[in-house]
Amino acid sequence: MKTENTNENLMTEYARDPQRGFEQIYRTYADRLVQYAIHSFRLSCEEAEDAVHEALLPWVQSPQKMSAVKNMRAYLYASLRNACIKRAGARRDSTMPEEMAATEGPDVHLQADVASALVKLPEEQRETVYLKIWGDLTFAEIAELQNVNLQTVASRYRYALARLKEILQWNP
Amino acid sequence: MESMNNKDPFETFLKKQSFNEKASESLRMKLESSASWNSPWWKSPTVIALLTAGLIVVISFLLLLAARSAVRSSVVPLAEQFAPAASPTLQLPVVVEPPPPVIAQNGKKNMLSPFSRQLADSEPEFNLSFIDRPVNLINARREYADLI
Repeated sequence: MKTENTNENLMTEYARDPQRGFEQIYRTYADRLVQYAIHSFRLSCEEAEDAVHEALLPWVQSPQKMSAVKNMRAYLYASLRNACIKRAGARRDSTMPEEMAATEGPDVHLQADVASALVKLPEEQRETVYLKIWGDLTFAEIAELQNVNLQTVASRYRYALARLKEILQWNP
Repeated sequence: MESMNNKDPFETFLKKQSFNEKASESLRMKLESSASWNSPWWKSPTVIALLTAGLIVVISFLLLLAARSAVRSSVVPLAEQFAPAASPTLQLPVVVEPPPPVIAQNGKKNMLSPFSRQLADSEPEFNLSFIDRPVNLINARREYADLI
């Protein structure tokens, strides 16, 4: 609910003043979009940024057209997904980006574990769990994005969580 | 809503594992450089195409106007040539003819034609200067009334 309000505010700001509105959209979503491209589609950082650039370009070039977008978050993920599919198609069997292993910080080891666990999931499950947990998308939005029905998304998510628990040997 | 109701602790655990990748500054710069608010309005291809089309239309219109006015000045309509006299009294139109062209000219500037010069020399035997004067029938009749 809070995210919905934020998105509405962002869109209102964008419609009023595209430059300022885009600044806020970029601040809110740019990192998350890059992460989605890297972890869901296993793109390198450069490829992920290219894809994000492609997805965000209409927002800086045609503000009038983009102001009419109803669900900004779902739209951003959908356009990035298309850009990523184009790139991932060429290198579907590539390895995980090296940057992930080299990250530093208090939870580096855990994050790397989660990232490697995500890689082990089938592509659809990986994307579903990513969009649900880190993308804050609803099942309905994910279903529309992946062009499948709601039940399929729910089961993909359930299977993905079960598999992740297994891989991470998670004990509550 | 659904996620709030069926909150699995594992979901909360995963959510806490935020990733570290950041969008680079170059991505931001690239987007900023192609932003419509950073490029002048007249640089957009649509505006350039429209301006060019407008310019072509204006130039064509001006050329058409010039061509039409040139044609109109060279062709006098027949109605204008044979227009009826405005006044009820018969009055012949005064035709002002241009002076005869200078066929040859010596060093000193003499505006008289050779024939006129010959006439002027042989005065007053032959005064045919009216030849060079504008032809006006009424005036001629008045002037030479005693001879007619």
